[in-house]
Amino acid sequence: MAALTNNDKISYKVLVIGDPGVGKTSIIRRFVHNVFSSNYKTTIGVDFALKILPVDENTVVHLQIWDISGQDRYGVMTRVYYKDAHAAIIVLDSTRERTIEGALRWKTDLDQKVTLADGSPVPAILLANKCDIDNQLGDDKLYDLETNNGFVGSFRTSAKESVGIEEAFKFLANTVISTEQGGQYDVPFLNREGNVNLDDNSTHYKHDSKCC
Amino acid sequence: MEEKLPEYADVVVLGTGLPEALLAAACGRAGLSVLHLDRNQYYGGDWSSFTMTMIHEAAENKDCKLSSEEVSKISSTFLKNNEKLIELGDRKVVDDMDIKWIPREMDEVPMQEKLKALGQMRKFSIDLLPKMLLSKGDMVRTLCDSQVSMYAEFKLVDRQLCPSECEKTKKILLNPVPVSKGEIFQSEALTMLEKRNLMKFITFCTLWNGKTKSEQFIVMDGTGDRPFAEFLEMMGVSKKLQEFIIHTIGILDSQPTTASGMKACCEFMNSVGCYGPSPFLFPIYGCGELSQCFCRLAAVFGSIYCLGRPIQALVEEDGKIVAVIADNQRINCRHVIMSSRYVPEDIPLQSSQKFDRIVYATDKPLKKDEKEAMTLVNLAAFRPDSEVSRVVEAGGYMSTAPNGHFLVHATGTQEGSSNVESLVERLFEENEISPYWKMSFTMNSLKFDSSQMGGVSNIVVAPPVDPSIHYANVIDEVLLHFSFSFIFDIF
Repeated sequence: MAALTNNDKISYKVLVIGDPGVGKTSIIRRFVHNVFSSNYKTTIGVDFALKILPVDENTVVHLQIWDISGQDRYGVMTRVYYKDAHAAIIVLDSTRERTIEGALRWKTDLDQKVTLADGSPVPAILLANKCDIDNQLGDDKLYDLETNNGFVGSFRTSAKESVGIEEAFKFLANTVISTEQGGQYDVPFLNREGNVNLDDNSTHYKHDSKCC
Repeated sequence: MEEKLPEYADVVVLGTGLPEALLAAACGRAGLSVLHLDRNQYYGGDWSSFTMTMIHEAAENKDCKLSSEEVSKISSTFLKNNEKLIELGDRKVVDDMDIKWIPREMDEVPMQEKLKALGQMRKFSIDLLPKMLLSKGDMVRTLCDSQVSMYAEFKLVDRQLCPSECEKTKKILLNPVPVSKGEIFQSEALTMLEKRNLMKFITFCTLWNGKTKSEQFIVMDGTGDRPFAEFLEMMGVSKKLQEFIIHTIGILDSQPTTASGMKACCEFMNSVGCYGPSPFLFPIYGCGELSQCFCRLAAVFGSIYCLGRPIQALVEEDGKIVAVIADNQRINCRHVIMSSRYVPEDIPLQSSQKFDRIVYATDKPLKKDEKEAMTLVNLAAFRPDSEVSRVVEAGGYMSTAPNGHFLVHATGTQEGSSNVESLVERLFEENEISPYWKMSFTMNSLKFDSSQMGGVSNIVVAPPVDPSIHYANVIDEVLLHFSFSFIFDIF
């Protein structure tokens, strides 16, 4: 891994997962566009949102933030979604007890589907969202959830009031950078030896439009 | 977690196999609302890949048939006047499944325990139906057009072997098949003269590609339906070179006529040199990835996925399906797409074809080489009566097995007296390879005519699994279904 220098453009894939209605999309929209809307429709046709985040004066990271679209509700994700992820944000709804279990189930699923080069889990943080609404989830409980389940950090957030989100993403970006500097990520697939990039040849096909 | 299913979708798709996934993605992109369901907890149905642990679980038979109490309960809960319940089928696409670990004297610790201890069971990706992609074929084009290519990873199938029987030892020799010009000139399988003639033939094919249908017709001089060998003879190609050509393209078409043989030659040569010497690509982690990729595309375009819940019945009214009953909920819909597995029992088959699939796990390659490779062997020469007899070996290099391990996939249709299984086992024996794991099953390619669905007009049955090496049939049929069933019907 080369030293990170000025102008280094580094792109990282960050997954945002959690039960339905916990506010994943709102968190992404707040972080990326700084907006909030309580009746939000899923973005159609986009895999991920891109956010350029300066982490210190020398480093800018490009975060690819992957929402889970129509596959989240029922809890089975494709490998495509998890593949080559650098980090994950697991979201729970502070006002709904059972989304805690959901968050832990997602953590298990994540750890089974993607790991660092040495097989250890990819960095994941836990967000207790909707902290602007009265809730029973105390700081101790959140800290216990974080440490007992292998999260690298936990934050109280509110997408509505814009609380904790920037902080959480910055923390995660720094964790990712140090993981990268430690050489702990697998080589991304397009750079792996012997891999073929189909699109290198796609110029021949461009004129032909097909239905799918 | 037990989130309710949506009450309505324009299209409900049953089964997440590759053809269904393609159709779901196409519908999603066409702006239709799609609910995609599968009885299994995993994506891919009969087109899926499994880890070593999962495959043993998936092989257990689960009965999906509704009891008569369930039928009457569903009927009384969900049916309105004039509506009729149609039970969904659970057709046997994968049948006679047999999986076993094979104890070996050489293993001090049984391989199963060793792999478990090393945490390597999940490093396997065992395909039910491994296929190749022709570099210039329809699947690669579809992947590029849909931009699904960014989700998947591919490598070249870098070694093709052609078997011949050694006259002295009677052993099967595995000869490398040269495909690129460079390889042809380095090859020892052909003499200088044969090489020159082969190059001439390749040039002829290149010219052929540029000809119109009627020009081709004139050159074939009425031999279009005759065996390809006769045409090659007529072109002055020597016996040995004829064999060589027919074996090489035999992987695309084992019993070529002049017309189909020339087509296969052109497809083959067109794809050669596209991404590298070999015309074939294979997805890293196996072919099961492809259905997942198209499911992801569908999801990005708003399709909703729900796996691992019971899918029970259809509701019919006036010759149309108006709803699907799944997980004891009613989902109203305008169209239903299903894999052949879900087709109701009383719908007649249009045609069917059985083929054998045997998969072995080994820790020694079929043929040693300087570097690890992905290998394709066409065994047609040893089973001349059958349409398909091939072996695919992929291991750590393709991430379908832990490093140093291999999955050897045999696929064979059932014509003729010999079977592909005994042939592969002969190869193992002669090369002192002892597999430590074996899975065998038959696959049923069940074809239905979507216009003959018991008087129901809005069901589309996705194309079935097939034994051919590539995805041409699947893509062709999917495109046909999509244009006929949807474009004309809805827009």
